[in-house]
Amino acid sequence: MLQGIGVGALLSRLVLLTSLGLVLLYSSSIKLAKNAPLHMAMPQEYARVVHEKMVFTLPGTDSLLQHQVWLLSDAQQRPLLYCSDVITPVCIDGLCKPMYITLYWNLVGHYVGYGVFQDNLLTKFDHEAFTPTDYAKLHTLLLDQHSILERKTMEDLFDQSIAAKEKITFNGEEVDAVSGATRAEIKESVVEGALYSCFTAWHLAHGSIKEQIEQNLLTYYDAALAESFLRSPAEDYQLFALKQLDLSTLVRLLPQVQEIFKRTSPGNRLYILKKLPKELWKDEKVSQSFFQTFAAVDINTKTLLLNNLKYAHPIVVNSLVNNLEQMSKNQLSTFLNYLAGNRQLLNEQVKAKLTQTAQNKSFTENYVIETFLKSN
Amino acid sequence: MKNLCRSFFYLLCLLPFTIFAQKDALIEAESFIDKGYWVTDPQFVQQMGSSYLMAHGMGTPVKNASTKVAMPAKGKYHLWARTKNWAPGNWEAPGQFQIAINGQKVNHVFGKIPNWTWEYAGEVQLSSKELSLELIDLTGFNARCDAIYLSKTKVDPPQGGVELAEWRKKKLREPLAPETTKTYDLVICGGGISGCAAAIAAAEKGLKVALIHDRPVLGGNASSEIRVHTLGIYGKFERILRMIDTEHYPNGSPEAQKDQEKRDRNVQKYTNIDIHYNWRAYNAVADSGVIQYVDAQHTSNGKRIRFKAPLFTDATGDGWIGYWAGAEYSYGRESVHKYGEAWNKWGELWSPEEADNFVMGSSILWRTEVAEQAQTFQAVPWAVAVAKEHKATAGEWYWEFSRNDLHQIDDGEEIRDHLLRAIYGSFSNAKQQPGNEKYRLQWVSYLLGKRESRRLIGDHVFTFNDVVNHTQFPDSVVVETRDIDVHFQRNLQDEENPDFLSEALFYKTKNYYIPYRSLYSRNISNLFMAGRCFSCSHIGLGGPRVMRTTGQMGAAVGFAAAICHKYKVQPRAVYEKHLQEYMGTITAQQVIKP
Repeated sequence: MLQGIGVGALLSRLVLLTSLGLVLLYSSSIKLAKNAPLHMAMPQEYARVVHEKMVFTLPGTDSLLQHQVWLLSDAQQRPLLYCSDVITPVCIDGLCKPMYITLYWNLVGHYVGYGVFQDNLLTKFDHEAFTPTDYAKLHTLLLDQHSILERKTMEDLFDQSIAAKEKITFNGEEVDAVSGATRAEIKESVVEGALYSCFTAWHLAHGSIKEQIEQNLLTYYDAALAESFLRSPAEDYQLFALKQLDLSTLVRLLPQVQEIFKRTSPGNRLYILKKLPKELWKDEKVSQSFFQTFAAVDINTKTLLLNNLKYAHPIVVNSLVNNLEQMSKNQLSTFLNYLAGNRQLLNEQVKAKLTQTAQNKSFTENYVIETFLKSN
Repeated sequence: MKNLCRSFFYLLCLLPFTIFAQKDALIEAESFIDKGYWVTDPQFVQQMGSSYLMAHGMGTPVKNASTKVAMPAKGKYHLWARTKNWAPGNWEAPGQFQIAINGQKVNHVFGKIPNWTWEYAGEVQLSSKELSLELIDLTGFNARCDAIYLSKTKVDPPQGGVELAEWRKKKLREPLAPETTKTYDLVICGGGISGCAAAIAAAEKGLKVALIHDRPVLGGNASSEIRVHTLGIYGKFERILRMIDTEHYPNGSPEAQKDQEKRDRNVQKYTNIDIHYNWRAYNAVADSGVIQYVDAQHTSNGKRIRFKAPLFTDATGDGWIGYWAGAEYSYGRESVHKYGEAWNKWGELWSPEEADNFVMGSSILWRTEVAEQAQTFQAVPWAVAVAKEHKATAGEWYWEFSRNDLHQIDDGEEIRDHLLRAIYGSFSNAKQQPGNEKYRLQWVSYLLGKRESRRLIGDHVFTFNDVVNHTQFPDSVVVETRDIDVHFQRNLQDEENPDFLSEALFYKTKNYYIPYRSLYSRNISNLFMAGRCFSCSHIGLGGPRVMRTTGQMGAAVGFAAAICHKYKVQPRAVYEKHLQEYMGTITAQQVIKP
């Protein structure tokens, strides 16, 4: 199987390599009680960690176990991350062994990394040590908020009698009773030989912890943190901050919100457009700032912008009419219906642009404009 | 004098029609005698006006469709075909076809104009009144033909909407009302799993049932045409649901055929279920909140039947019967505040602060196979804009499309076509990869597997709270243990993701119950509903939209109809006056062994 290298020698090398990685990480971090991350999606935040404070306990998979959750902060006591040393049993067929892992979350409760206990490195069920590839795969798995493991129960994964009752085999191919995924797909997303560890770690990283961290965050969330969230490139921080904004603060911070709008995810853009008070759209500058992004934003945001056209300052028509080719059929209809109801905006310049676009044979929806021009 | 002028004008208008009506012919493509391997597509009748024929060859031109027509006279005719370029752009149209008249190809290639249009092909000479017509597919990629029109005069037919519908009626000399009326105890529209279960339950109680279904096979999303396996539990209706459900094969598996045969055979054995295969309801008329009749049309020959009954069931999925009859309904995602359906873990993805149109999308399932020899697959430049760089050799449930400018019913054809481009484009990309040379498309559905559309409103609106609280109702007729499973499009989180892939959010639950009051309309007094158009919120639909659960709804409705029939009452009275007897019937079901 492992040509030219003895298994024992290879394992030793892998353990050594892994240990070296850990040593490097340890040597570069501040001396904390927690294990430094082996894999971390927010290394800059971690690098600034100076203080730690226990804030609450996280119920384990076994109700007898409680894991302490710590808030990590910088030299000025500004919060950065949460983490928890987790020691949890991994059991199959009544045989149990402990799994040691330090989990890290960002301030809104999303998993961002994990560390291992140097004297209790992760092993597979057959006691084989995790390879560096296995460690990386575990991190990738834990980062996936929508992992296939979410829909699983332990019984789905292990109890073959239940599996048989639910007919999860089909023509010799094992099929996931919940999603129709094959066993091969499940196998692909987890570390081979460490399914239970992966399952346990994923559910700890993505279980009730998110809501607990959010609750804790609200106990110290202040204007300074709000501002740093709004400045952050992390879209989950942006959304959290946007959700907390009351309308008067939203109005005050509008330039910042407009900046976020340009660079954030479609989901966050939609949230911003929905939250914006309708009366704000009347303001020419506000309207312009959002509608000027029309060509650059995703199609769902375009729809919502056009749905807000009726509230917006009419000046936006001038920029929209230059982006007709960017619109879907239904979006065009929304825009043209608006013009039909506001005929004073159908000036020569707008009409000329409509006519020009209607004649553009490479624009597949030109017939929509053609029909509109015939009746207007 | 003014009136005299007007009368003269009307006379002038009528004369040409009277004359030229004898000198033209409208031939509906779906009525072709031999359809070859063109398929009949009735999914979008309400949007584009008709069933149509489509050359669904997955890249290989399909066998010609042909028919014969007796023309009013020989001579020269102008020729049009109503068709559509379904993926327009700066490339060759994907679906192109020609027409042959009496064995001679007309020198015009159809399918190149966006939107449904009458494409004019010039004049043709008919040397006799006997006309044979053929549709010749040129590309294998979903060319479509709604109808062919031959006329001595060169006047374009109306392009669409009411004008076209009226014109079509005149040309086909359709009477105002259907020629035939049939009367039943219960009329069920939609032969998916819920409709089948309703029909069986009612038939077992002795009702004379009409089951109207617009496809040649029963099962809807579970049919061999769409191939989604049935999920959920049997509840109290195991015996009935086992007759019509599926094994847990992978979605898209050809194994669906076995269950298809089982299902059709089992429903057909009920002599008091009158199955109307290939009939599609197109109207329901209510008077004072009571449906008087439902009109349906055959998807190929265009014949029409008026269905009368004291009770109707909307199992159409899209809630069409309720919609036409004026039933209250909802569409889209409610504001989180409307029913208090927040789940902080997923926030806006779960339930938004402000209502919107981000419903769960529709899917097209597909599969490939590995041939013994390398297989070619032609270039699909028209699919690139949708598939982009995505590569795939198989589809699954998460091939799903929803967008906030598209309505799952009104824009169904665009949604289906978008998914076809996603599939063909992604497969074409995968074929470029070394190691995939022997892959070929085995099957691609052309029927949309919808998850969410109109939801008719009943006396109870089933919501997330009923799941969280495990609410037990005095009229709990459906029980389910499956997770609430709500989907969203992946490109909402990252616009670089393909817009045709979705993600699922799961809320695990021990069990939940659906009350009978969610299965009849609040304001149309003789209308039941079962299936995804039952009374629920967007989140409420997340769990029970799967087909064993909708089957439970159907069976519950069928037994309720029997109580209505017995006491000559309407659905609400079953809850108000006959609940004990009704629940007794339901409970008795679970002890009847299959």
